[in-house]
Amino acid sequence: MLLRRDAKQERDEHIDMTPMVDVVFQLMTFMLFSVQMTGGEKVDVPPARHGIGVEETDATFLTMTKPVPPNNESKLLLGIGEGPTVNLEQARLAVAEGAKAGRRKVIIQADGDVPHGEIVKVVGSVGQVEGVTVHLGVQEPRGH
Amino acid sequence: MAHWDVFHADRLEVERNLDTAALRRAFESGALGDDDLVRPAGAKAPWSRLSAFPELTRAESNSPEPAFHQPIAAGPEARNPVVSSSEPSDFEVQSGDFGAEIFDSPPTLRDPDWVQLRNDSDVAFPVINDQPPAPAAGARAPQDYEPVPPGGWLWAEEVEDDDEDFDEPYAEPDPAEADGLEILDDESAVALPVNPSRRDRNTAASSQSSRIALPVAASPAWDDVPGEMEIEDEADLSLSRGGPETVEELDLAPMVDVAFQLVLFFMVTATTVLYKTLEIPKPSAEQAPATVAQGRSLADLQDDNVLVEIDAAGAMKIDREPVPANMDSLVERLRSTREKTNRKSMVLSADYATKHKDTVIVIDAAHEIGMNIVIARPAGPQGPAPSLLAQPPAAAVAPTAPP
Repeated sequence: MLLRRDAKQERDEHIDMTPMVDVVFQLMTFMLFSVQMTGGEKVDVPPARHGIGVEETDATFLTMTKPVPPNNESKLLLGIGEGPTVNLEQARLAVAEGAKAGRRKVIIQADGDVPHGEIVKVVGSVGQVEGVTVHLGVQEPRGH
Repeated sequence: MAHWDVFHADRLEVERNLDTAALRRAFESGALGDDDLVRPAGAKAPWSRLSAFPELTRAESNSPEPAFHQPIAAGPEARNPVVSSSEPSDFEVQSGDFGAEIFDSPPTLRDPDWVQLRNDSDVAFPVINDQPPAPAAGARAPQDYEPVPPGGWLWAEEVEDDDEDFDEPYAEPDPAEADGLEILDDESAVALPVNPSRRDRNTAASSQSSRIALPVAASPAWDDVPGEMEIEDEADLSLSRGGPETVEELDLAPMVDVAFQLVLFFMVTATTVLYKTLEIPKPSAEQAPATVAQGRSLADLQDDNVLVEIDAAGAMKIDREPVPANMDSLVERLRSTREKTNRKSMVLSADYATKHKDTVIVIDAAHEIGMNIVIARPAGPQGPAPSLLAQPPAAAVAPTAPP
């Protein structure tokens, strides 16, 4: 039969890797886009309708974590959602260094359950640095 | 000595102009067999099997030359076959040459009496006539053919590789025109039954009524270009598609393209990540007790500012009057208070244990209606009474202005 495959030809057992690589890149691209779209705040900051956007490179970030028992104290971290634990003086120095580097904004990413008094103390400490403005980190209201 | 044309049935070749002695020698040597065909050299007589001529197959002797009989019931032209004087080169089916000269030559041999062959054509291949014998001699119907004795051969017409031939119906030879049988020269190898309307050599239809004993070489079509359509090696012709080419290397071009896409994405998106924030007033360098020493209590500030209080449980009051702790109620109350009292700033006095999210609601409401915010420094769990986060001097940082 003329349409029969030539028996002399060897069957090609090699797997073409190109489509697999393309699919892998597609998955990577999807994951990158999806992660960016959801925001991914490390702390549950309070929602707010209004606010201004601050670029990450223009601010020094301080994170105040949710109070945990037994003593219900919140930690002050230097960074966005994570970082080394610092005290008020160290936070002030970090803000001062950032101000020298051009980061003249301070964003306090505080959990919604953090006591107001703790936040005021932090604001009072970092506010001593000249030329900086203090911002409270918020998020979009749920359902918007 | 008579000369013969011999057709080798095994290799389908014609050997012409052999004398009787050579023919006998060839038969004795085995080059010729009983199935080979023979006829007088240059004659238009039908071929006959060599076994029909025992005189040719006997050893050389003084036996007389065998007589080659003409086919029975042949027309006048068949009794006097037209013999071409020119000798064809090799055996092949050739197209008719109407311009060929036809030379008359008397037949030298007779066919055997039992040979009954068709006399309506003259081709290189003998054809077996498998048609049923005619019912009666002379009463020949157009569809009937000449009876053929066992082992006899019939003439077949040339089969041309022409599709147009199959569309035309076969026109049976008119018995009234049987005498008009035209036999072309030997080179053409085609003798058409008489029908002036069929002089265009449509022989395929007539060939359908006979069975060719040997494969017929088709004449080249009129549109074939010599050398163009030839298949050099028919053994390699095959409709099977070659197998898929093996992928020896990985094509990196798509991967590089995707990598560049990712790089461009990160370059564009790396600087556009924004964090939503609410700006709050920054405390001054003065200490809280000093601020309090200035003599301004919350009650005094209430004359110029709208007092908003929040306790540890989250309950809110505006100018000592309770208000629901939601955004819309706060906005409505603050707006109405501002319109009534013409106070354009707000003092936020919250307890130390007040949750941060409750204070954010008040600050957000102030931003919505454009009121200035002054945040009072709460007293510690066991500290002094609440005092204001000292407003900076006018020359220094101004209170937070609504965006």
